[in-house]
Amino acid sequence: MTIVSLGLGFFLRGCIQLIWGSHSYSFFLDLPDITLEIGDLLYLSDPIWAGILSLLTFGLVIVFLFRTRWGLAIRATSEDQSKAMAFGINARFILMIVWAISALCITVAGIMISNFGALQVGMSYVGLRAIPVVLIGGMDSIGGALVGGIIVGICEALAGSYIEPMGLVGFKEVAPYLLLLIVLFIRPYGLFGTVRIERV
Amino acid sequence: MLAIENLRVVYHDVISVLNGISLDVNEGEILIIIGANGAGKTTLLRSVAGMIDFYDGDIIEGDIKMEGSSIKGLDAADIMKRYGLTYVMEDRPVFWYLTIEENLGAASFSRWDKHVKTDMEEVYEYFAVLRSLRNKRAGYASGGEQQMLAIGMALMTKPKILLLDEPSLGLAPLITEELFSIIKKLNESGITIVLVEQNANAALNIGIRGYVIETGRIVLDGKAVDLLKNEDVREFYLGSGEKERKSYKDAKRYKRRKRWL
Ligand SMILES: Nc1ncnc2c1ncn2[C@@H]1O[C@H](COP(=O)(O)OP(=O)(O)O)[C@@H](O)[C@H]1O
Ligand SMILES: [Mg+2]
Repeated sequence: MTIVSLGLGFFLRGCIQLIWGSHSYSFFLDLPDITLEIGDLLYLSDPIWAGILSLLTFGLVIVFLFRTRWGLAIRATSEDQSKAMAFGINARFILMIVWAISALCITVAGIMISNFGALQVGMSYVGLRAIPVVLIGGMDSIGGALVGGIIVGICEALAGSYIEPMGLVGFKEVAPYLLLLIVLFIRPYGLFGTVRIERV
Repeated sequence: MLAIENLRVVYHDVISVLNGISLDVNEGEILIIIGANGAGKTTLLRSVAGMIDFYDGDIIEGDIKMEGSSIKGLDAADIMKRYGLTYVMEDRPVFWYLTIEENLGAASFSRWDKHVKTDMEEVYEYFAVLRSLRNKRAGYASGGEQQMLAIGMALMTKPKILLLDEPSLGLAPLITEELFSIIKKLNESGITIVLVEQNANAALNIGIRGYVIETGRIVLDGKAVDLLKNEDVREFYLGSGEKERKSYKDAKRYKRRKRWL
């Protein structure tokens, strides 16, 4: 499965290069400048906007999952597809909805990331940075993804500005994985992963 | 109401599990199907409920009819919506990580309307324990509570006919008794019931008619009271035959003899 996904990833990137070329497009959203300066700290406008929009998207997904009957059906199906089918939930349809939601979230992320720099085909690799995020937070925990994201972000930033200048170039990219390793040693399901209900 | 005609089912194209089963379910009855482990009871219910595809099984011969029209090949959600047929899988098919109330909600997905809340109340009337546990995760409920929840969930789909797969599996005798009396009540409220059981005694006592299946064939059928008295059934399914324990060889002879029927 994983290998097929990777292969498909290469294939799709290839297609994109064929159609739109591999050069970068300039891309920016015309959002009001809300750069913040607090003490010595400077918060740039674009990352703040990205944070706001992420939280908004996140909130919408949560509301959808926990406050609507569709969300309930999704949570049920994610636990056991055959049980869901037996109670009249059309599992194939639910899978389609889930794919649509994830595509939507990825699109939002893609737009915001392009907004930091430029739109370019190699950008898709940032998706890989989600791996330490979800594993640290806990694969099946939604709140965990949020906390994991913040932890990984801070970890990268700190490693980038305090450890890299000591001569370890590129340490920024490795730091989240080191953190991941430590977390998994202590909590194999991630920080907020569901502890399985065990019965005898 | 439901008619199964000469049904043959194989898994993975090679493992033949049902070898020509025919049976009828009359409206308003409780039909009992008994058979040992591996006889094909679950496979039969999966086929009827439109879920056999999911397990990589195929109906290679025969037909399944609801009210005269074939439901072969329809998917589970369609069969449920169009014909009011709901299948309660074996092993307490509840969602462990959802609360009891969410479980009931999830089961109402196919018919969501204004009456869901009142229907939940009705389920709580049948199964009083569920009301006090409504906000607890189903995974932490006891076996009996989970089975009651599973049947409660099935009720949320507004079934006309309910297929129950070994609901008494792993439950204490007292709980089984309570469960079966509720099943009887459901039947009296107008739901046709097909009850698959290994607990033949308890089941035949609430049933009207019964079938015995063995290695994918029906070997015996009749009124529940007659089956309870039947020598072979008593011996192999009730464990209380006239003769003392028989050897394995005798059991095999019994099977061979039955095949000729
Ligand atoms: N998904 C499957 N794939 C292959 N064989 C199966 C599958 N499910 C059940 N079987 C086989 O079919 C036979 C009948 O199983 P089942 O219908 O579960 O019997 P029962 O419910 O009467 O115990 C068993 O021999 C079992 O091993
Ligand atoms: Mg079974």
